[in-house]
Amino acid sequence: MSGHVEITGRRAGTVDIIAVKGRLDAGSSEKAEELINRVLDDGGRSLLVNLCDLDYISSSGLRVLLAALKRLKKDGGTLRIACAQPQILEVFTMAGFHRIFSLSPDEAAALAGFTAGP
Amino acid sequence: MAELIVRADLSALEAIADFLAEALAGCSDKLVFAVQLAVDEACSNTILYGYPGREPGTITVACTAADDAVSVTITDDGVAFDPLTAPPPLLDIPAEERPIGGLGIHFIRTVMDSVAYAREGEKNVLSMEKKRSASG
Repeated sequence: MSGHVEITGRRAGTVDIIAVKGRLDAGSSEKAEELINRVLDDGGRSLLVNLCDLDYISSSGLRVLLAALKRLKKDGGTLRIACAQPQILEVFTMAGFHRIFSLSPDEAAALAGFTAGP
Repeated sequence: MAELIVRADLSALEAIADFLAEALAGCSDKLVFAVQLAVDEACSNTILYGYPGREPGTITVACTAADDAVSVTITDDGVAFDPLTAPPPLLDIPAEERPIGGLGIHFIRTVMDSVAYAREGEKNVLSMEKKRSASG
C-alpha cells in the first residue's frame, strides 16, 4: 500500500515546520497547499518542510513547494526542505528543483540552516 | 496482462499506484516508482483537464511486465489531448521566473523509454514502455 497523506504543522522557535507523510500527488497536494498558505498568511517567514516520511511526490506536489518558495522569496522569507528520500530526490532532480531548493539531510541540519542564514 | 478500470477522479490515483505495485511485483523498486510516476502524471492530467464541465468518465490502465520490458497503456474517454505536443519545461531559470506547471509530461518522457499517443474513436490512448535492466 502506498498510504494516504498526513500533513502536520508545528513550531520550533521562529521556524514553522510542516511534515508531509505518505503520498503528495494531485489528490493530496491541495491539502498541503492549504496548510502552507495558512502558515504564510499568519506571517511565517521561515518554513521547514520535512519530507522524511514522504513516500511519493508528483509534479503536483512539487508545484505546491514551488509556489511556497516563490511566495517566501518575494516576502524575504526562507524555505528549507529536510531529508527527502532518494526516490523523492530523484523527482526533485528531474525537475531541476535540486538547484532552486535548500535541501538538508535531516531536520536538525535544516533548522541550523535558518540560524546560519541562506 | 493486468487491467484496472477507475472513475476519472483524483481519489483513484492511489488505487492506480497500488495496482501498478501489484502488477509489477518482482520488478525493482526503482522501476515500479518510475512507472507509477509516469502513469500518475498522465492520469492526473486526464482527471484534472479531460472532463471540463462534464461528468468524469473512466480511465483504464493496462500493464504488462515481460522479461525485457514493462508496458502500460492508459485509455480514457476525456477530450482529445496529445500530451506529447506539450513544450518541454524551462528547467534552468530562477524559481521566481518559473511557470507553475508543465512538469508532468517532462517526467513521463524522462522516466519512460518510449511514449506514444493515439486518438482512437472517442478515446485517448497513451502507450508507454520502459525497458527492464538486469537488476529490475
